[in-house]
Amino acid sequence: MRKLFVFPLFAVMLSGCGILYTDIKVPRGYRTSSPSEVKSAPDDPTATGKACNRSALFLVAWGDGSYAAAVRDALGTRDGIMYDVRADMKVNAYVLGLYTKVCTVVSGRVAKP
Amino acid sequence: MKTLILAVLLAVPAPFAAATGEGDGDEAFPGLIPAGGIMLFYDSEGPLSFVSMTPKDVPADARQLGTVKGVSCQHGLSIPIAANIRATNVTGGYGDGSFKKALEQIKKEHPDMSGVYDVRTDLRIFSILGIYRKLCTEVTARAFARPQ
Repeated sequence: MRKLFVFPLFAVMLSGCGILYTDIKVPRGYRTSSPSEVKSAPDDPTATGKACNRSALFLVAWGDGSYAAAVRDALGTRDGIMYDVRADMKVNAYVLGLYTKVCTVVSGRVAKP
Repeated sequence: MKTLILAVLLAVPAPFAAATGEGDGDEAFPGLIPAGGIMLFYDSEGPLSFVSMTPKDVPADARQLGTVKGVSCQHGLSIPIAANIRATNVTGGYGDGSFKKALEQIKKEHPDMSGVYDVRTDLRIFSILGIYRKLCTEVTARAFARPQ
């Protein structure tokens, strides 16, 4: 009987979704520009943006960990194009994964559009 | 150990929908809504690959239209046929979650659009009790128009 609960619990834990409710956004693809493909300048600022999905008790998962949200966070109020972009994933899990935070982190330089 | 191996095997289909991103290599991974068990019906379209334009590819005479967004979705149902954790599910999937549909939606909102660049593609996963699932392809990009 115990195994009946352990199997789905592990499955959910590894997939990052909630058993009862899931509404998350995950990154799929982002073909970023190189410095030669934008109007780059030596004094272009560097920006970092983060977007996260969260799950609690393996039951519910929510958040927006998309590339779009991470880039929006990095650009802020600026109107620009990111280039030389590094995209990383940061995971925080506490108490055997009862609370999990999975973040998409983009960092790069911002050129004028 | 046996339990862990079985759990990993169980989890294998889940990342299929959860995080099938486009890698750096030449491989393309389809973003189709998963359907297992007894599949009654499946008529779905999902994203595969999209080699998008960069600012360098935009023509010099192009007029900027700003940031645009298009969404296309697939839907799935998975109904257990018995009140047992190991029961087989009756599943079905339908919808058009393709890049084509998402871009058509953008084109509908901006009829003068000629193309998009600086494209970010994401997947939205929505699920209630694992019975109803929705997998949406979201395309966020900068659009441009060309003089007629």
